[in-house]
Amino acid sequence: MLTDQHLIDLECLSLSKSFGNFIAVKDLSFKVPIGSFFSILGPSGCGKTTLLRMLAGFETPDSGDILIKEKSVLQVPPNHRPVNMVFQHLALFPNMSVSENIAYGLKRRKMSPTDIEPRVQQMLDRIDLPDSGNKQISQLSGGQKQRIAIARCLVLEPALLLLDEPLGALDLKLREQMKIELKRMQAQFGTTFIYITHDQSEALVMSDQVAVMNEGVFEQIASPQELYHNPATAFVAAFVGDSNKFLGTICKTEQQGCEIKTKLGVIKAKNNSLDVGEPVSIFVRPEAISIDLSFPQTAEHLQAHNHTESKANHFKAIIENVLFDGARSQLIAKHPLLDTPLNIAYPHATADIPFSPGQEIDISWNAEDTLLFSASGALNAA
Amino acid sequence: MQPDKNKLALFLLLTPLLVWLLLLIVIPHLDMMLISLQERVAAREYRTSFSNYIEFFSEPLYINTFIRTAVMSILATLLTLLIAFPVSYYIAKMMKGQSKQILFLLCLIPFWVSELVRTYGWMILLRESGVISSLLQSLSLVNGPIEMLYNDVAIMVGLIYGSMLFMIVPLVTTLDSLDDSLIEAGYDLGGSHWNVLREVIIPHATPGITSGCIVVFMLSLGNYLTPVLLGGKDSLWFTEQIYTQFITRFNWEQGAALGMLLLLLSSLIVWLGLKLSGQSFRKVMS
Amino acid sequence: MIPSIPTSRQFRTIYACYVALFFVYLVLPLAVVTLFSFNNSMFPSLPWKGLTLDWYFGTTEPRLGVFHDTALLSGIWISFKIAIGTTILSLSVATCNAFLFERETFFAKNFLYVMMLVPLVVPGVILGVSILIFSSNVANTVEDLWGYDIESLRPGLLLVVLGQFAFITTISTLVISARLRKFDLSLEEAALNLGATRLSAIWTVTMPFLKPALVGAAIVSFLMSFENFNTTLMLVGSEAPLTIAMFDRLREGSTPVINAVSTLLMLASALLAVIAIFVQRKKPEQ
Repeated sequence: MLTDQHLIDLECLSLSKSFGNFIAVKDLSFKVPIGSFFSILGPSGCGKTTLLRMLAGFETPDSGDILIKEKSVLQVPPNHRPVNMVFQHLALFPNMSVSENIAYGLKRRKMSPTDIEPRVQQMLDRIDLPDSGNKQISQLSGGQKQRIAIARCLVLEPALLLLDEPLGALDLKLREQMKIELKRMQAQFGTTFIYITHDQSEALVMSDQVAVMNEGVFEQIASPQELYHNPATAFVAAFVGDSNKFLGTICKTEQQGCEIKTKLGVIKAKNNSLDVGEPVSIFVRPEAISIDLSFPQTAEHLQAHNHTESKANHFKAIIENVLFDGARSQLIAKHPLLDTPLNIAYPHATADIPFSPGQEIDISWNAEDTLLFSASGALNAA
Repeated sequence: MQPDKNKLALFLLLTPLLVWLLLLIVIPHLDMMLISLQERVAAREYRTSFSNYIEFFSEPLYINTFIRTAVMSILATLLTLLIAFPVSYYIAKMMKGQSKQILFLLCLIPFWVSELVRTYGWMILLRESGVISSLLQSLSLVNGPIEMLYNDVAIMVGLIYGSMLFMIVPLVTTLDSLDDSLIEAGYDLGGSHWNVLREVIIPHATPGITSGCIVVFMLSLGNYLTPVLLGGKDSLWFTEQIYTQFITRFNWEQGAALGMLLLLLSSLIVWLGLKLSGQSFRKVMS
Repeated sequence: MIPSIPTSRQFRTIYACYVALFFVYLVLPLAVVTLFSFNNSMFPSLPWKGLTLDWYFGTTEPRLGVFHDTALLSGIWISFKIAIGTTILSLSVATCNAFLFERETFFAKNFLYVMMLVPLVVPGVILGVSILIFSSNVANTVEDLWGYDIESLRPGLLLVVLGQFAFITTISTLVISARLRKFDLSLEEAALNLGATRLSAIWTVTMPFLKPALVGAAIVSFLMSFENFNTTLMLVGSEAPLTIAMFDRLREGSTPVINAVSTLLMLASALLAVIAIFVQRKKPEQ
């Protein structure tokens, strides 16, 4: 975390907001460094929209403070905050042309038309829509509308750009494109983006920092890599990325780690901060699990089998289904002692071996890939 | 379906429409136009002439009443819009869920009641021996009874009251369809209250404003009850002139001419309203 | 100016007061009409002389209550007959129109649709007058040629029904069309696919879907007919419907029996309104 005050664009201090009995945002404090792409990721109803609307000025916090560029903005109405928002459904004014939409905020600043025009055109050039100024909003495609909505805000050079799940309404392909596009625009303009979403892929792909939000609090603020590989809480581990979850209790602790008793059998982990007898949740990423075919047992495969012996955890399972999805293909495997099937990343290295349902496989993973969290509430990273 | 059967269905559906429109709308109005162009020379003997229209333009009473009716109707329309807009906005945008529904229904209730009853209510309130007069006296605000009936203000109050529904309903409907985020975007980009109202809210509400204004204007122009009951003998409303020609004087030719002029005036003003707001008749009416 | 935009407390208070005042304005005339129907006085005005039910149940002049006032009762009966006739007629034609404009494509469809809307912008008085002229012309021509007087084409019940039908049909058409537009045509196709004929598919699938709109349109037609004044005034014969009878009494000055009739009308309207809302709410899920 950056501590130099001059590099902080947004700071929230013990921000709280509730609606009746429902606590939307609970005593939240965080800082966003200047020029970063900051995402708030959480399921619907976690309070992220309320947080964003408080930043924009459309909700008033019950307590706490919001500092933008080190100045409290609580008393500043939304039309005077140095903050602009890209709405979920974009909220482009249908009665105005593209240029008029972009010029709207500049006109409100009493800027003369001769100054507005070049700035609008410059903005249109920067978003690669130089000739669209006279078009009506209804003539634009989904991606173009997206860019106009962002341009309409960026032309005002705000301290923060707030984005409220703007990609939600787009189809999958366009959404993939817009992710890259948004990241590019953020880098190009250097404005601080606060982006809220429930889609982990959007958050992971675009952000410098991601805050995972649940029930009004941030579970973890970290870079996407950190979030994925070292989740701070069971919620983060479950919410970000796919994983296989087991419940168990610690049965043995030692210097290098611990052993956990589960339905599947004993699982080894590197973590050693928990006591024997403590209930825990275990998460294992699908791609952390490697496979070795039991049949046919050629010498070559036996060798590979021996290799898996060296991994801390290994079990047998039976393939139930093969879900082919290109690079994201998965195997669904059953274990007689487990109620829920296991997700295993398709081992592309062994693509020459056809997997089929009913086949028995050996699976294994390293002790450091066992993500371990105390189920009694305390946080413990693997 | 076979094409023959489709033709038959179309024919069966088209017939009632054509009969209705031709026999009750088109031909009667054409007939009225023809009658208005007739001049009675002797008993049961007529010739074509513009004399009825010439009579209108040479008789100051007719022209004055005509202009007065038009001006008062336009004024009533504007006042209704002015009163109804904040209320509609309050219902559509400030209220949520159940209370919004209830408030909206509350607005409609008075209009399930006959125009006659509503006008009668205003008579009881406004007349010399009426409620407001008595109330003011008992509060010693005035000395004798005061007559608030039989003047233009009373007519205006009645017209506005009677037309309110037809302004509120289209306004609430269009304002309700305005996404809150558009208003928020307006503020977010630096707009003031006035600005957002003028650049975001009113442009969105224009179809509702237009259709509300057209209907209210038509209702005021064609109103008979309110001016007669609240305006008294000197109310000078154009529909009264038409009624007098037809029913009292039995001068149908003159009455038809006045009717045509009223129709012309209303069409003209509706057309102007549509032109000014850039709306189409079809879109506004349905 | 939506709840999420901060405004001063003062502004919010003034705004809420304005809206409250508006509702007082809406309710006031109706409230006084109702209130004075219970006043134990010969005139519907202050001072308050205590409660009475004479204006409902009084049996002798001058305190004749509405339930014993034969003139008013016959007015109600005549209005009822007219309203039933108008409703049946306008609903039938409106249903045809809805199918015609929503389902068929034909020459001059747009033009006819606009024509269908025209009755809404013709002042009621003019509509009545034009139909009066046309029907009298037909009757006169027939009398001149064949010496036979068609009584029903002279001012009277039939003309009143036709006059009201002429504009109420437009409103019913709009109500029914709006619902038919939401109908998923594939439901009808499914019925055909399952062996229904075209007519039985419409009867068993489409009509039940339309039922809320049909009931709504019927109630609106009935009320508009029952309460109509302007068009009726021009076409009425010797049998006066309720609004005309009440109008005559109002001009002469009347006992609070008029208030009692008005109160009953309000109750009936409210009842119909509740039914209408109930039917619209309980839409069967397609």
